[in-house]
This record gives sequence, structure tokens and C-alpha cells, in this order.
Amino acid sequence: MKTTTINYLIYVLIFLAVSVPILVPLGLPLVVSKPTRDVYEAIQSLPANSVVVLDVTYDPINEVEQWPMTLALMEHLFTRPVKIVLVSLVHVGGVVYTLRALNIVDKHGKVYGQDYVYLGYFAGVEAAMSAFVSDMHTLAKTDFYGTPIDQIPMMKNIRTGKDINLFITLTTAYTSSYIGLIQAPFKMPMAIATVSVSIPEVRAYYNAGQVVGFLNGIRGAAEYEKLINRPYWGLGLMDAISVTHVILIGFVVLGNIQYFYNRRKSGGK
Amino acid sequence: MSLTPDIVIAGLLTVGIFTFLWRDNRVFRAIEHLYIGVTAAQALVIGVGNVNRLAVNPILTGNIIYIISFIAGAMIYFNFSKRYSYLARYPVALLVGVMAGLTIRGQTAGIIYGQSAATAQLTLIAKDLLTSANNIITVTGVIAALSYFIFARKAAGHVKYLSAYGKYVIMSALGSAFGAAVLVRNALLGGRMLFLLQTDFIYLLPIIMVLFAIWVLYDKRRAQKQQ
Amino acid sequence: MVWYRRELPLTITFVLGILISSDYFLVFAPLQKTAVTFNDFATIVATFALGLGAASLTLMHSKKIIDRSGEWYHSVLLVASLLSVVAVGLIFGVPSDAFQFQFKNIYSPLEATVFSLLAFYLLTTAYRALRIRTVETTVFLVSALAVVMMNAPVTEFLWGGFTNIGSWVLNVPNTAGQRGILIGAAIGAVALAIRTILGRETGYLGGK
Repeated sequence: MKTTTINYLIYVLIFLAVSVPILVPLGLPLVVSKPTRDVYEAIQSLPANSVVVLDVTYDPINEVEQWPMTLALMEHLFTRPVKIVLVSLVHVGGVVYTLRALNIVDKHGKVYGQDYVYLGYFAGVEAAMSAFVSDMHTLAKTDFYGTPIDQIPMMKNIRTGKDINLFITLTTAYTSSYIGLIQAPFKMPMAIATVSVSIPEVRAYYNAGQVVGFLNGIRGAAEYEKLINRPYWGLGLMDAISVTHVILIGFVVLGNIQYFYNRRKSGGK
Repeated sequence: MSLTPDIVIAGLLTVGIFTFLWRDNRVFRAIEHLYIGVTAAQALVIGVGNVNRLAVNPILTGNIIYIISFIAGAMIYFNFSKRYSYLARYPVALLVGVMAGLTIRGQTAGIIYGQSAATAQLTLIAKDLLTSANNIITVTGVIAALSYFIFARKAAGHVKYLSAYGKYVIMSALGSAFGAAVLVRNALLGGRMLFLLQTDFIYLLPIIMVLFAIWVLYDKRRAQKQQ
Repeated sequence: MVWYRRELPLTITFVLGILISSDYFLVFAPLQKTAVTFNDFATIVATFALGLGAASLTLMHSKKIIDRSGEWYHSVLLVASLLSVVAVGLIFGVPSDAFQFQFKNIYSPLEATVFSLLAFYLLTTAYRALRIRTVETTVFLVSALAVVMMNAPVTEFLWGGFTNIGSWVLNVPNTAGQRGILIGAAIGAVALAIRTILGRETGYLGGK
């Protein structure tokens, strides 16, 4: 069979593998992993009036994994008696997603300026991270809507990294910079909700105790939705993920069988 | 059924991109150019808002020192001038100097110290055999991986074996990253299919599939004729 | 070579590099305040740089349109879409319905779909390239499959051991490898930063 024909067959198979479970859900059970549960417990155990920074910073390429995480984390944070500082430190897309999420989530009576604030996007990646934890008032000057930061009641006592009790970042890159410039100088509890491809690296930080927990891409989003009992597309995609993963394993096994068969046929060369 | 303009636009753009799976074509290239234009515009719009908020407003409210940053930032656009392009070097030098300083800070404290300390704190003789074995693999693996980087080209004698062990440990890390990437890519595709199948765009899909099939057959016929 | 084209930018890099890095190691209030100020300046300069991409694209494609070279009609689409989105964003603002509409229904689907094509190529690559040829590729393959099986809920459903194996791969050999990579990369980054501050790396200056 020609290479291109096999390719097109694979494409059709993937389309079906993703589409069929969406149309006909399998309802496979999902076990919540320890790192996800650790993030949940970190938020749940925060004392009243703790300061939590939620850094929403991703572009549409990662929307499918991080948008459900954004909603789930925000939903959970707004049920807790904490002060929430929202910010976007790496990708410009974070601005739109933060504004959209604030329009959607139930704020449980929290008031803007007193219980939560959005400081906006800051360019410069490492420069922005360092400036943020060095002196938020010097960096931000105003919130996203233009209100001077000195006039925002909750920001009176929130100025540097020392005032932050938990830093949650929905980043897709620069995790080492977050650890080096934000977590390490202040020994700050940090949770990372990131795309799956970053998880092997984040594991190293988690095992070193530099990160209290993490959410593993779409799977982490699904687990968190299960924990807070708010199903969204995280849980909705798990069946499709299962089927495509099984198909990938099948193709790898098939490819290797073909390889060994061809090698045997050609005399072990 | 409510096929609103937003769903139709998003759906047609999605399907247009998927046509690339058959072959490169004009529709895909047009959509690709649309994507590049729209992407560049996002950063510019948010950038202008930020310049206003972070530089212009502070200057207008009396913080004169921000004139320095405003002028430095504006100078970056001398990049487009053949005669005065050297002026763009000053803001770049400012950025590079700050980033270099931050790199020394961040990487030393967070990574070199943090990860080394975490490795050094692992007990090689732990309470149970499995933990001991895991810790021994981790500690020796880290040392081996570092020796692979340092001695990759010049490894000789016993160091050669350490570097080889380091190579396998690094391949495990890269393999894990590949396995994790599978989840990301499949999730991306799942997200698009979720949109196409769970919104009213699903009613347009049969028509689109028929048109696609006609295009594929026409293409194959044309290719056969050319042969 | 006049001093203000090369020596002055290198001096700026040197001074700021020393200032920012020493602020971390020394506790000295005036130093800290100066470092914070220049850090802030850097974010503002980086904000200005956000428009570079748009400006460069507009200039390049406008030239293509004027010269009618290549597929110039695609360039018309590019420039038109860029200018429309900029106009909408600047006139109505980012929180406006118009800007949100283009973000949600044009930008977002386009970016997500372009990168979702990788799912297809990933599977064809896995079928063709992931072979048990050498020890290295075997280790790579086993680690990849362990993580894949751990991430898929169906494999947990079939046998809980897949999660334990995947966790072990991620917690032990992967962590060892990642730590080696991270520490190695960090040492390299610090070395490059020191070279840049000392003026040994001048690639960022561009030409002469």
C-alpha cells in the first residue's frame, strides 16, 4: 500500500476516533491524580483573607486545555474567602480569556476592587515576572480598567511577593522562569496549571517541592472539574482522548511488528 | 437550528484549514494569511493599550521619569530605518541587560540551587527497598545526565559509561515529553471536533463532506489525466 | 566604528546586567529601587516591541502588493485583516463585543485548528518512526508509551498498574533526566548571560 494512502487512512481513523466518542460518550471513569488533588487542597486550605494570584496567560493554541482549567480554578477560588489578584504575564491572549472568564463565572457575591482585581497584561516575560513580585504598584500603576492602584481597596496591603499566599499560573512556557524569579526568592507556594507537554519538566519541580501541585493539561482540567463538580469540556473530551491514545498505542505496536517482519524477511539487515 | 454568523465563520475557517490534510491549496493559503494578519494585530492592540496605561498616563500624571522608557521604547522602531537603525540598539541593550541580570538571578536560585538541593536531599538508604532504589536511580541519573552534557564529545574511560547511562536517562525524559505531547495534540483536535459536532455547524458538515469528496475525485482525475 | 553605535549599547547592557543581578545578592535599598525602576522600564520597552511584528508584516506585504509580486492578493487579505482588527481594537477596545467576536470566531479557531493538524502528523510519525531499533529508541518508546497509557482514562479502567508504571517513569527516570537537562540548561544560560553582560556576545546588536 502506498505511503500516502496509509497516511489518508490514518487521518480518517483519527477523525473517527475523536468524533465518535464526542457523539456517543463512553462514560469511562476518571481517577483524580495526586498532583491535581494537591492543587485543590492548597486552595481549599487557604485561611480567610489569603492573597491568591491567578496568572491567566495563554493563547488560543492552548485554549482547549487551559480554558476549562481557567473556569474550574476561578469557580473554586470565588467560593473561597480569599483575595484574588488576576494578572497575565506571558501571552497577550490571557487578557481576553481573563475578561471572558470574569463574565462567565459565578462570583458568589465577591466585589471587584475589594475581593478581586485584574491588573492586566505585562510584556517582557522575565522582566514582567520579576517586576510583579518586586513591586506590583510600580509595575501596574493602574488596574486593567485604568483605576489607579492606590485607589483599589484590596491592593493597599498587597505589594510584593511576600504578600502572596498562593501563586497559580496557567502558563504554557517559561516555567523555569516562574520558579526562579517568583517561587524561589519568596519560597512562595506555587501551583502550575499547564499544557501536558510541560508536565515532565513540572514533575521535576513538584518532586523537588518547589510546586505544591499541578494540573496536567486537558486531563488535569477534567479531574478538577470532577473535584468541584462542574463538568465542562474537560470531562467531555476524556473519552475521545482515551480512544485516540489507544489507537496510537496500536499503531506503534503495528509499526514495530511490520518492522521486525520486514527485518526478518530481509535477513536481519 | 440556529446557524449564527459566528458559528458559520468559525466552522468554515476550521474546515478550510483541514483541507491541508489532502494537499496545499489556495483556500488554505488564503486562510493562512488571514491568520497571520489577525495574530499580529492582537499583540499590537493590547500593546497600544498597555503603553497608554504604563507609560503615557504616568507621564501625564507627573511621573516624568517614564519619559525615558517611552523614548527608549519608541526608538525600537528605528529598526526599519536604514540610516538610523543603530538607534534601535539602545532599547534592545536595555532589554538584554535586564534579561541577562534576571537570568543570573532566576536560574541560579531557582534551578541550579533548587534542583541540586532536591537531588542532594534524597536518601539513598531509605526505609523501604523501592524508595532506596528510586532515589539511587534519580541521583545517579542526574549526575549521569550532567556528565553526558559536559563530557559528550570527550568522554573516555569509565566516564564513557556514565555518559551512556546519562544518555538513556535523557532519552527517558524526552520520551516522556513525547508521550505528554500526544495528549496535547489529541486534545487540540478534540477541541475542534467538539466545536464542529456540538454546535449547529454539524448540519453543514454533510454538505461540506460532499464538496470535499467532489474536490478529491476531481483532483485524482486531473492527476490521472496528467500522467 | 563610532562609540555610540557599539560601545554605548554594550555599556548599557553591562551596567544594567550588573545592577539587576547584584540586586538579588546585595541588600541595599537604593540599589533595589533602581533595579525595580529599570525592571519596569524593560517591561515598557517590551510592550513597545509588541507592535514590531505587525509593523514588519505590513511593510513587507505592502511592498508585495505595490509590486504585484507572487500571490499578492493573499497579501491584500493579510494587510486588510491586520488593519481591520487593529482598527476594531483601538476604536472599540479589547473588552468590546466587536473585538471579542473576532478573537473568539476568527483568531481562536484559526490558531487552534492550525496546531491541531499536528495530531495527524504525530500519529503518522509514531507509526513510522517509533521503532525498537537501538537501546536509546527503546528507552524513548517505553517512556512515551508509559506516559500515554497513564494519561488515557481507559487504560486505568482496564488495569490500574498502567498508572503506577507511568507515575514511576515520570517520577524517577524522567525526573532524573529533566533535572540534568534543567541544571545543564541553567548553567548554560547563566554562562551566556555573563558573556552577554561582559560584551562577549554581541549578536543582539545586529550588524556593524
